[in-house]
Amino acid sequence: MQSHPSPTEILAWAEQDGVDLSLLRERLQWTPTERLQRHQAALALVEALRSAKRKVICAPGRALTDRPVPG
Amino acid sequence: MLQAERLLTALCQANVAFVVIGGMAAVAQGSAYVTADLDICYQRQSNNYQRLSQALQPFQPRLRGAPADLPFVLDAQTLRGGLNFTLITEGGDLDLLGEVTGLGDYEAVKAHAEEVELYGYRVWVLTLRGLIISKQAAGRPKDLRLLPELQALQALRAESREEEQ
Repeated sequence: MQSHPSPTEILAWAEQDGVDLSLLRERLQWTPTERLQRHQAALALVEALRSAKRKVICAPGRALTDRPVPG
Repeated sequence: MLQAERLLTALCQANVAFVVIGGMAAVAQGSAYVTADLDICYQRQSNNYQRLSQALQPFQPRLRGAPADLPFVLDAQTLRGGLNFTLITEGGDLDLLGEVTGLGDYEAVKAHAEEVELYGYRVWVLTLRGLIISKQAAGRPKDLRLLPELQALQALRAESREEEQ
């Protein structure tokens, strides 16, 4: 019969899979509303980065052309 | 961008019978996952169709990915005639599911949910166990990627319960 893995074993496997346990332990200290509020802030950052990336893709040469011409 | 607080508040104020599922349920349970949409499983009953469609009316829901000129009205009749709806709204992307893979309809999903306080309202949110069952059943790469984290959260909770005893 297969034994049920212990929490310690599951946590070791998760860590091997790249799960940041300290991040999860921190989140478990927060209330569910705080978790959603922090998620909203993280999502805003992701959206801002995506938007910035889109601008770079749309105008790839801009960073060069915007530089002042050496005089 | 998704405005989960606005959408959840509107649903709660209208007394819609629903369970938060998917990525946002994972976040509420402690996951570090970042999701751009809100998924809910709604009760398929006439009075709930009415409440749900009226609650969402101010958000001007439209079918996500459909041509902008395609006529669409989310009302009780539309909800009765369909099952799962992927919507774009003024409050962000919202998925309405009548059934959840691996769990079933609203009543079955609610049996795997717990009441949680969100933004001052008591909201039914899928448990970690419910999330794991549904993600395993859905089986898409993006669902399976979340499994180690959900299992770790479950183990961390078990560990803290053991410490308390």
